[in-house]
Amino acid sequence: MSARGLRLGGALAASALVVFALWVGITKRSPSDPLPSALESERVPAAVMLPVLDPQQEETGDPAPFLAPMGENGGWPLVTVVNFWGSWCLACEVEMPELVLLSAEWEECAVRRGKAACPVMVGVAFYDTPANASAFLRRHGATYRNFLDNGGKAIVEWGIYGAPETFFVDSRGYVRHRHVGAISEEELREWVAKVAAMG
Amino acid sequence: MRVLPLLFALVAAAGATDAEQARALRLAERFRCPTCRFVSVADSNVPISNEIRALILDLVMEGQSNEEIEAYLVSRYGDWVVFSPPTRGVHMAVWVLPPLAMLGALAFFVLRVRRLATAPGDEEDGSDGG
Repeated sequence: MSARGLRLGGALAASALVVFALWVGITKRSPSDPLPSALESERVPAAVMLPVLDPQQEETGDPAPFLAPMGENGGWPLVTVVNFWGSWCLACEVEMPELVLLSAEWEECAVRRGKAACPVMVGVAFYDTPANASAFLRRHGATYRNFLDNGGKAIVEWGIYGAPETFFVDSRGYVRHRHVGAISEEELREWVAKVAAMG
Repeated sequence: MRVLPLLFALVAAAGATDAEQARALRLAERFRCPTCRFVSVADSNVPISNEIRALILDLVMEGQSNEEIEAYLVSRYGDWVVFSPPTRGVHMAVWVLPPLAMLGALAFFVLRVRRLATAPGDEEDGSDGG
């Protein structure tokens, strides 16, 4: 009886160990892996009023709602790419030329084919000074709309935990993808195409 | 610009009672700092933690319950932001299995002792290999 008990206990312990090992193996992630965004396939967070950055000014302009639809007649454009950055962030410096390149291409697209048929770029600098953020935009020749959030609630609303982070919002106002870290032109194009196909 | 969120925290704290501040601090200890991950929001001083601490205090002062505040942060940052795993779905395993294992071990132990107690003369029975 006790030998059987021992065998049973041993078998139970062994199977528990196997299950545990499998569980760890399946779910193990490196501590530096990007975390999933809680916003994916959710509607964009409610708009908050944030000051708008002007690359030519040391001070921010009047506040505007972030994020409000930026397409035709107050509708959502094909895809809205939302980039969170800071002038203090090195990876943002790396990705900025790609964002500027594509935003220029999309602005041209809007002129030719109408706003509804083209993606839109929008940026949010956070925990930054207006002067530093403006200088950053000026240096990179960025002309698309950029906001500044210093405790303006957008950072927590969007679940930001570092910079840069780039979100892709579809034409119905739903967040479809979040990219963590510097993003390349190829990745931008790939996700814009994917999200545009989602509708 | 590190000062800015800190300033917000101080401004928000100005109108709070001691009890509200204490509750906000206890709550902040339950959430992870999004940037540093293994430290609580209460223990870290990065800008995002400062902002979340200020936000928690705001919500406490608005009269929101602990559950409402937790639900809000989970809706923004995911289950990951809470140190204790959620009590639902597959996560229940980490809450249920340890007590079950303890109970099982206790039952096993009690049964063995009782068997030894009922057969005090028979030492052969006590040795496992028999």
